[in-house]
Amino acid sequence: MIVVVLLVFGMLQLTPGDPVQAMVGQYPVPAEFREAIERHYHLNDPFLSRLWQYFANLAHGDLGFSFQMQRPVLGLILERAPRTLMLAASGFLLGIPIGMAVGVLSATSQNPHLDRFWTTTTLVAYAIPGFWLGQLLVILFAMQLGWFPTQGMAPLVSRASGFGWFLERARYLALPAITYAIYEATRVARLMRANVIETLGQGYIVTARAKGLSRPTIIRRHVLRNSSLPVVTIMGYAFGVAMGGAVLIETVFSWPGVGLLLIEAIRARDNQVVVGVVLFVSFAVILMNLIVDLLYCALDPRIRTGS
Amino acid sequence: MLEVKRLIVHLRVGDQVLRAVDDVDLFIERGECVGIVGESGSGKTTLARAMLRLLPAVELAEFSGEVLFKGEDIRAMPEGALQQMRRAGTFSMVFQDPLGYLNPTQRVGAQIAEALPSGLRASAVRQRTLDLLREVGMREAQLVARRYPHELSGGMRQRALIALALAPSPTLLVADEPTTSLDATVQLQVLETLRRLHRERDMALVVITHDLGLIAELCDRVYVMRFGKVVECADVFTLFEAPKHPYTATLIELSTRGAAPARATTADEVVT
Repeated sequence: MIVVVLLVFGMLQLTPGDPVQAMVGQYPVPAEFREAIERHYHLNDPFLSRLWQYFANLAHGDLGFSFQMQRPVLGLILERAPRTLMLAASGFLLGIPIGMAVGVLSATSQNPHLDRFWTTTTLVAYAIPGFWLGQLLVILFAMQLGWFPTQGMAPLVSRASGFGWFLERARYLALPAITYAIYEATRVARLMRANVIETLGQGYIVTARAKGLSRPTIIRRHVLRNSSLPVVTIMGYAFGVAMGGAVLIETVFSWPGVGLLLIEAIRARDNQVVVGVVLFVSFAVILMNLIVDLLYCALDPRIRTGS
Repeated sequence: MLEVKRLIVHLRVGDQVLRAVDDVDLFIERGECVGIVGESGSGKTTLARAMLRLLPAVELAEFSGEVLFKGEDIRAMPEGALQQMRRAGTFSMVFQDPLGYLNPTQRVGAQIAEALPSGLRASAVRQRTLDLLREVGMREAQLVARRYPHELSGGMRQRALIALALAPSPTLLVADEPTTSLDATVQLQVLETLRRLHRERDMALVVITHDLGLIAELCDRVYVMRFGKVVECADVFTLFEAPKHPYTATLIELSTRGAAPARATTADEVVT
């Protein structure tokens, strides 16, 4: 984590741009105003002194202050994180089962045409950029059919509570979550297909056939679990990264999550926020890796005794 | 009991076609122990798997001839009937590499239980599983049943695989290199186990190996394979006394010059 901070802090040091100018906009900055701001936020202090101050604050759980939003960075991130979590979780929950099903179907299909159909479909879906797919979905389902709102996370004025509150948000969530899910599903499907084909070539599948088990039974009892192990690793890591927000999807749907925050912060040269978000994502990745390791222990007995 | 007629198996290996089994005839009588010997690549494993129809269809470029088991042709049988026959315990197989042929994420007991005839009560399944493990010489059957394959030693795994193959009470057991991956003392234990089971269960046994010592210990009759063909077939005594085919003679000479005598003496020690 410390290395991450050093890296991002250092890199932002090298990027051009002037936060004071960004605050004011396109007008010339009055000299005394610039001086006041620079003094107030210690912008002209030497690099090392600022770095030291940042670490000292970090130790107190203070991620800094956003001069663009005029709010503490930690508060900003904590406000955005549940939204990104909601979007990513629904995308993953929808995408992973679909991807696994498609992967297994494709790999175990006795019919080569069916396999080719699924492989091609997955490849095409994988290659479609998320922002474009998102826009297509918006045009079709939001603008033509009017089933879902085009963007945002909730109506501007809302009096709903309880389950109604949830339903209201679910309508907004639908399109970005589907876009998300399609991308994750294609990743999982490709991975799963390869894993299942590899598992089917293993000796214990021959043993299972020698036992006289039917093909569906073999797949259920001997293939699924062993093929799912690598998916757990990849998706666990991906979920950690996803806490940084799917920047493109959040932008297309104006989903006010961490990704959008990052984009806004970069545009505004709000460096404290950028470092804060990166720090948050690296923390999420580390946490997810821990969870993956624990899950792996539950799924794979070889690791349980190894440790 | 089992009769193989003009069996031809061509395997797809990448772009090429391998003539793994080339026009083989053989038969196995009830309760008999038959050896199939040959160097690696001679097609003996392919022959064994083809006999029990365990080769995956995608790998088969050609699969013709007849494999008659009690008069029924296994080769041409529909998949469903074949599954039923396997579940009913007509024939089963012990594989060469016990670690790869056991599911790494399932307990050994569960994997053996899966091979038992369906329709048993849970308590009967548990009992039969433990009996099988004891039958192949595992003393702490309960403990072993709860283990995962990687937690067992090589010899124990091989015996777990034998127990698994015995679960449906087969009348024919095909053992593919059952002792190759084991060290000498464990080899002997597995060999004894096989010999005892063969006698006690009145089960026909086919042993596939490149180890003539094992053949001499166990078998009544031997088929010698080379380049996918059976080059010689004789009973064990005739084969060792007067090999007809020069290839057989070479094999015997090589094996007696090598490690075989040492094995024989250790075997005698254990028997006495």
